[in-house]
Amino acid sequence: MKKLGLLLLVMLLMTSLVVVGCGQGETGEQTDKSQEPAQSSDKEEFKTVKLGVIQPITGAIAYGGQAAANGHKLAVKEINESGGITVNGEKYKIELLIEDSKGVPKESAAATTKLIFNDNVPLIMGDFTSSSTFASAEIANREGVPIFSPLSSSAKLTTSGFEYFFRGRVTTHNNLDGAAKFFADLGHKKIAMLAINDDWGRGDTTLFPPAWEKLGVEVTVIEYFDQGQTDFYPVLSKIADTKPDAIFVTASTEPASLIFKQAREVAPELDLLTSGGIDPVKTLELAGDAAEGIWFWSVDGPATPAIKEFDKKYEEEFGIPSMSNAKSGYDVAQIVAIALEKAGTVTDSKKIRDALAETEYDGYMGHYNFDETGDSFLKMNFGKFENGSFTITKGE
Amino acid sequence: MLTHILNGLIIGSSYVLIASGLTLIFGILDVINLAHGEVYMIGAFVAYLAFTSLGISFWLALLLSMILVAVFGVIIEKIIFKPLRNQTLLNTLLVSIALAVLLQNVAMLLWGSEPKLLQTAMATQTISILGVSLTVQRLMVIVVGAILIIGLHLLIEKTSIGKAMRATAQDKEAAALMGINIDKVYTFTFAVGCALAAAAGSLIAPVFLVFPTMGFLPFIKGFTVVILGGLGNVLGAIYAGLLLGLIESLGAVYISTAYKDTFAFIILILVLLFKPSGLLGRG
Repeated sequence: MKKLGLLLLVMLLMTSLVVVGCGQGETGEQTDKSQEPAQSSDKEEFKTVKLGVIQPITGAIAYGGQAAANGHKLAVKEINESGGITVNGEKYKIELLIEDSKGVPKESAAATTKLIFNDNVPLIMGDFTSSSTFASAEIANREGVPIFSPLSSSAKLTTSGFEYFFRGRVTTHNNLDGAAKFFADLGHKKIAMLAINDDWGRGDTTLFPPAWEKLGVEVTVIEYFDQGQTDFYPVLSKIADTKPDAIFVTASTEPASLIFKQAREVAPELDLLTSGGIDPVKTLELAGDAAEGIWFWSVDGPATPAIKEFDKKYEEEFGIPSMSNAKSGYDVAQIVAIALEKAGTVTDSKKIRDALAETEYDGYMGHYNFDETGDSFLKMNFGKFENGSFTITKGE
Repeated sequence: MLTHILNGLIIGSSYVLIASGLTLIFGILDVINLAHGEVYMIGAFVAYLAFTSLGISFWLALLLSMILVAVFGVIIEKIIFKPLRNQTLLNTLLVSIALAVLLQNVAMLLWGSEPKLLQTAMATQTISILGVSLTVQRLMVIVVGAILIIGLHLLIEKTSIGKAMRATAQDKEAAALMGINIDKVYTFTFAVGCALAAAAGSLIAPVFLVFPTMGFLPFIKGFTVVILGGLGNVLGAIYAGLLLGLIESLGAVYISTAYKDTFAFIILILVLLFKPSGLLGRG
């Protein structure tokens, strides 16, 4: 009996280990102050405006989160070095207060509260996953602080009455017809869906099937997986049993790469299609040959000379390859700078919100403008992996 | 149907390898090593580094990983678990949790939290067994796993050190009185347990990706298998490991894929409630 009590105690400790494990080994917040000391040669006095940033800097999706934060940092560095922003006749430098949400909505919420109440930021840029952003937006909206996400695509964020929410990311719901048609035109009559079990994944599985049905494409089965999963063999075998022509995968880079590899083994005759969650460069690295022939929805457009220049600049600054999230982060920071100048204030959040709503901008990721729900109308592009590389074509 | 059974056996084999090491260590040292998952992870990383940086064959990398991790296990046993030998189980448990967190973070610092791919030729060669196609790599998990377990069985039953291990597991004071060097048995057992975990990690590495937190979930599964099969019972670990693999695979297909990982937890709770000594009893 004593050993039973001990075993139950072990179970309790294991539960606590689960909690620790879910923190991905990192505890505590990480505050990174990207500060530009007034190194300008002129004698002008600069004030500082602090802007909040929330991204997963550590955790399972850190790669994408860091890229967005880096994009913000690069933009702010350039702005500060070229004279800062002029708001209502006064010169300001921008300082970023970066909080780590670890990809967990609870942490996003905590970060939002800290930035608003401790640091009194007039605006927040963040987060990455729609679930995390939703948690932040609820708080920011209630407190009247504009929150501008460079990466979250879920429709939920613009249909929940968040007056203070803005998004700078291409969405499924605003590109649905084009996307559905594109994938249907590839010739598949029966598509199975495999999506991550969160707001983004469920967004795709809610939006695509009716659109495909109208185009005569049947969705044979919809399956989900959880964050952190690595063994997809059972679910892929299950999907293969329903005899589709192709599997549409809604997953970010790491799980998608595993799904591609395992699908090639389980059901090599099936085509693979994927949504906008992968970084093509990293996917090629992780999936290798398995990626060959896969069509993907590309957040990036074809690489113009300007984009190539940005990528080079980014890699020089941070020592790692650029990706779409970095450009989104850069664009969003630039838009915020413009909005602040337009609003004529760095403290009146309502005025900043209104200025942001009216701002239009041509960035690396396309043309930005907002409707009354803060939604974006960036266009989707398409890409294909072939011959060990990938090509991107512009969407309509 | 056969595909699903095969999937279950493959993942089950990896659970058996992890669980047998864990159960052996508990049965003989009375230590529950919560860092066992991290040993599995380090085994995978060593194999990955050996394979990609040294350019040696996968099998050599596997062997190297088992040897190096066994040595690592010896060091851990001597530095951490030996001084705590007279402590309560709870204390050694807590220390092993700390060790687990430490190893995870060291791995993150050294190698980054980005997943890595161990690309072997076997991982892309497919063969067909009874109409089911799978890669040679995955088949090897069952084959090599079986070889290692048979080897373990022979070690325990047929060698003198194995005899010493069995004696120590039965009654360590009596064994010591009989002239068995308990220290040596403990260290050797720990090394073997770690080598098995390293083998599991290395075999699985080309199938999934290699990353610092990869050991967490397999450890939970391994621990479930240990409880299910009976603490210290290696044969129980084999049956329970394969059983869990099959339950997960078939459950995912016929019940729900979203709950695939929860089967292990449900089983753990049920076993602890109704038959805490495990299906096959203590070893």
